[in-house]
Amino acid sequence: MNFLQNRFHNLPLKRKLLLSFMVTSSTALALACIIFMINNYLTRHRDLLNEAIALADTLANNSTAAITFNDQKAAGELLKALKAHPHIDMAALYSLDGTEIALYVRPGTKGLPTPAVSYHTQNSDYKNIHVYRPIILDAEQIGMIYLRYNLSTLTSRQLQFLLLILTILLLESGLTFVIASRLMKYISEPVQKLVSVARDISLRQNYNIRAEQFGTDEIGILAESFNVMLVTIQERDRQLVLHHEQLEHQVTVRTHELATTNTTLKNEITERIKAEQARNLMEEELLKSRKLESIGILAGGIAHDFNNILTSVVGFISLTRNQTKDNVKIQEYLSNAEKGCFRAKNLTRQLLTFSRGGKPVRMTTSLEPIIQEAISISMAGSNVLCNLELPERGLYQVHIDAGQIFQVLNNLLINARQAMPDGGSVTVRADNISIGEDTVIPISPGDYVIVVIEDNGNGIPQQDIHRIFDPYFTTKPMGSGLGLATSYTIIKNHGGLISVTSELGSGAVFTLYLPVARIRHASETPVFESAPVAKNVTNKECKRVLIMDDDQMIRDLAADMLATLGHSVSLACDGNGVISMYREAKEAGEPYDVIIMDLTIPGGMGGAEAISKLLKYDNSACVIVSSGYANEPVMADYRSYGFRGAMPKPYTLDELEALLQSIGTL
Amino acid sequence: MTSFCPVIILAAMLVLIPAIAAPAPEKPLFAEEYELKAAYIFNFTKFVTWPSTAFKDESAPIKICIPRNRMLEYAFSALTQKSSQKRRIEISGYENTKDSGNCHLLFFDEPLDSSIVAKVLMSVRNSPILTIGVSRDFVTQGGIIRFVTTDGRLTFEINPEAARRAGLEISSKMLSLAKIVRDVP
Repeated sequence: MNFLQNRFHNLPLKRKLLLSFMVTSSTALALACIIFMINNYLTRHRDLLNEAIALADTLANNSTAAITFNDQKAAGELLKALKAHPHIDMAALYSLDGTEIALYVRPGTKGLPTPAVSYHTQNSDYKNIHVYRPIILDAEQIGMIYLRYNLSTLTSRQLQFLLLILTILLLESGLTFVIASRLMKYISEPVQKLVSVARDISLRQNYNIRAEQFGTDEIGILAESFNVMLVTIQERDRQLVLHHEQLEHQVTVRTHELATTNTTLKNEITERIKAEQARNLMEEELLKSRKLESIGILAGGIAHDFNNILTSVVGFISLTRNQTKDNVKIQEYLSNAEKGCFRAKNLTRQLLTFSRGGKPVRMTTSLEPIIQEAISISMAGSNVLCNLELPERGLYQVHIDAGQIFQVLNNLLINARQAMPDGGSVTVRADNISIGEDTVIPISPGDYVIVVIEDNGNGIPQQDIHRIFDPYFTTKPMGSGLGLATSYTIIKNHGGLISVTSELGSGAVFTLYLPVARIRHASETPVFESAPVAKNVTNKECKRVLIMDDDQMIRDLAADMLATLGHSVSLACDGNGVISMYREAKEAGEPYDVIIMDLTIPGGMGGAEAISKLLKYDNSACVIVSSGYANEPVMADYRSYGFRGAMPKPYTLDELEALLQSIGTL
Repeated sequence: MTSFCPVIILAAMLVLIPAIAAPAPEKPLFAEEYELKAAYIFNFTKFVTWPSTAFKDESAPIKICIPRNRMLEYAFSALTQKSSQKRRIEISGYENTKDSGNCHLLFFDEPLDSSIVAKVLMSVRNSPILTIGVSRDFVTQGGIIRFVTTDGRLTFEINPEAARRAGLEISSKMLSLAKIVRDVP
C-alpha cells in the first residue's frame, strides 16, 4: 500500500490527475453497477420467490380437492401442469400426515433429493428456491406443497449483467481517458508551464522571466502570485545589490578616510618626532648659545677692561721706548714687553670676537674666492691634500662679513690639518641647498649655501663633541680654546649654523650653513679688508687733537702719545665735554682737527651720541672712534655713524701716528 | 393440599371422560365403506356453497340428512364433532323422504327404490339441497352427486346443471375430480 502511495506521489501531475479521474469514475460506476446488480438480483430473487410462492399457493389451492379426496391421479395431473413453468424442477404434494400424494419432476432433471416434508417455510440456495406451502382448506391445513424453483435464469441473467457492466466499465474508462485527457490540459498545462518557469528561474537565477497567466482560476491566481513574488524578489535583489554597493562604497570611502587619517597620523607622528628632535636641537642650541652668551658677556667685560688697561700699558711702553731710544737693553726689554702686550691684545680681541661676535660688516658676495683663499693660506706648506668641490652652476651669493667668514673657514681648515699630522686629505664641498619647513636642523627655512669640510683624521671623541664649541675647550696642547667658539658666534651672527659630526677614527665633518643673500647679484665684488688703516700716508703736521675717554689713564696716555708726536692735545671725559669744548674752540677760531672719542662712557654721553650732536653743529668735524670693544658694530661700520676712522684699543704710538697721518685722506 | 390437587383432578378426568362421553355405538359390519362416504360427504360440504337463504343465520349448522340406518348413523356420528364453512354439522336421520324439507344435504343410500328417489329428487329439485346418491341413474334422475366405485376406489359423479338448478355452487376443484354427468334430455 505504501509502495503504491509512493508511486502515486511521484507520478507527474498529468498522470496523477488522469489516474484520479479514471479511478474515481470507474470506481463510482463499478460501485453503481454492482449495487444495481445486487439490487437487481435481490429484487429478481424476491420476485421469483414471490412468484414461486404464488405458484405454490395457487397449486395448493387447486389441489385442495385432490388432497381432500386423496385423488393422487388428479394431484399428479395438477402437478403435470407445471410443465408450462420451465423453472420448476420439482414439485410435490403431501397429505397432512406427510404422505406423498403426488410428485412432479421435470423431465431431464436428475439427482434431485427427495424433499423433506417437515419444512413449513421456504429457503433458497444459489441454484434453487425451495418453497414449502401448506395446503389449507376451510382454514384448516390439509396438506403441504413443495416447489423447487430453478434460479438458472437469474444466474445467467446476472452473468449477462456482469458482462454488460464490464463492457460499460471498459467503455467508460476509454471515454474518461479521452475526456479527461482533453480536460486535463486546462489544469496540467498551466501547472507544467509554471513548473518549467520556476525551474528556469531557479536554474538560471533569472528573475526577469514571468509565468504565463491562463485564466483567473486558482492556477491563474497562483501564476499571478508567483509573478508578484518574482517582482518582489527582483525588487529585493535590486535593493540588496544597491545596499551592497552602498556598503562597498561606504567601506571604500571609510577605508580611504582611514588611510588618509592614518597617513595624516603618520605624518603627524613624523612631524612630531621631527619637531621633537628640532625642539631638542633648538633647546640644546639655545642652552649652548645662552651658555656661550653669558661666557661671552663675562669674557667681553674682562676683555674691555683689560684692553683699557692694556692700552695704557702699551701706550706707556711706546712712550718709554720713545724716551729710551739710546738704551739698547731697555729697548729690547720694552720690545719684549710690547710683544707680550700684543699677545694679550690678540687674546682680548679673540675674546671680544667670541663674546660679541662683532657685528659683521656684511656685503653681498660669493663664497668661492673666500673659500679658495682660506684653503691656500691654511694648507700652505702642509702635507694635507685639499679637494674643493663646487657646483657647476656656481654658488649663490651670500650676505656676509668676508673677513669673519674667512676667519671661520681658516679655523676649521687649520683644525682639519692639525687633525692629520701625518698627512691626509681634506674635502671642502660647497653647494646651494634649500631647507624646508620640515627640517630637523635648528635653522629657519630658506635657501642656504652649505660648506662641508671633511677630514679623514682621527675624529672627535663622542664625549667631546658637545663641548668643542665651548670657549677654552681644547684638545690641542697649544690651542687657545677660542677658535671654534668664535667660529660658532660668527656663523650664528650671520643667521647661519655650524654643526659637526664625527666618528672616532674616521674623521670629522663640519658643516656651515649661510643664508643666501636676498638679492643675489654679483655687482659687489668681495672685498677682503685685511687692514682698516692705510699706512702709506705721510702727513706730519701739527694737529689739534681732542681726546674723549672716561678712563683717566687712557686720557693721560693719549695726551702723552700725541704730545710725543707733536700734536696739541685737549682732553674731555664725556660727550658733553667734547661738544662744549669743540664749540668753544671753533668759536675761538682754533677748531680741533681730529677728535678721538671713546665709544662707551659709563654714566655719560658716549661716542655714538656725541658724534651725532657734534655733526649737527659742524658736519665737517673729523671724528675717530676708539673702543676696547674691537668688534662693536660701530667700530665695524663707523662711516655710517659719521666717524672718519676707527681705532681699536689698545693702540700703539705707531698706530696712532699712522691714523693721524691718514686723517687728511679720510 | 395444593401439591396433590392437580394430580387428583387429572386422575379424575381420566376416569370420568369415557363415562361422560356418549356411549359410542358398536361398530357395525361394512362400517368402513360408510365412514369413507361420510368423510367424502363432509368434504363435499367444503367445496359446495349454499345460498345464504338456505340458512337461518350465520351460525346456523349445515344439516346433513341421512336415512335412518344404524350403520350410517354410526359412520356419520363422527361428523357432528366437525364444522365446515364455519358451520357446525348436524346429522339428521329420516324415515322417509318427506322429512327432507330443511336439510342442506340429502344422502340416499342404496336400499331405496329408484322411483322413490326420483320422486324425492323431483320434490327438492329447486331447493338448495345437495343431493347425493349411489344408484346408477341417480345423477341422471336429477341428483347432484353420485358415489361410484371404480377399480376399488371411491369416486363420484356430479351433475353441475342439477347443482345450478338447486342454487348451489360446486367448486371447480371438486368438479375437476368428478366425472361430470349431464341431464338426460
